[in-house]
Amino acid sequence: MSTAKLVVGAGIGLATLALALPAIAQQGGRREDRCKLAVGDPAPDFTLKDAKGENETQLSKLAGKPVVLVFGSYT
Amino acid sequence: MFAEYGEDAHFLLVYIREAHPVDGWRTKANDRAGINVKTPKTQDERDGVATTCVVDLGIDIPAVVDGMDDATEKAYGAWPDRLFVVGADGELIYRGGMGPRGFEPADAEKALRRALGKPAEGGVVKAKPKRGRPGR
Repeated sequence: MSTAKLVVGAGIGLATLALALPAIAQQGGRREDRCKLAVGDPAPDFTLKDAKGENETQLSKLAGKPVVLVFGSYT
Repeated sequence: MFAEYGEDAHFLLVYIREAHPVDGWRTKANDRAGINVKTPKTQDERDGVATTCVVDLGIDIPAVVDGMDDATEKAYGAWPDRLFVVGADGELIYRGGMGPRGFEPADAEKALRRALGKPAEGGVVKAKPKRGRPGR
């Protein structure tokens, strides 16, 4: 099992980590943490489509098993 | 982690607005890496970048794309990247820190193992090395 597959979101976190830190330093400060959620809060429900604009996934319909949510982008 | 727990838990990548597009907070590191992504202006463009992201980074978990209103990202305060684990009952059991520094898959795995009734030991994700100043 490769390390890459063990990391949730594959390269997203690592790539962002490697690429974003210099930018943060260039900006000379920290970004505001806008997450107001806490452990124990209901997870905000959402319904989103895949990248083909086809299949929808609704978070609340995944209840019954834990859900690992990985938020990220390419850059 | 997906390979280890994919039978017992759902995994979902939520592609959100770009952190460092070339027409926004551009970084030299991205330039050196040849990553030149403009801010998508339409949902189709965002879907396209999301597809490129998934393919180029070899992401093998299901992925969905946030809308152009960034509603999901805003609801979670997830930008630029962040991990959450939702329990089977729909409550948050892990809220990761703001990425990239707070992006800690090993901590998310610990929460997931607890939720699955697995012992704390035996995780498959290596913790990121602690940052520190040598000699101090």
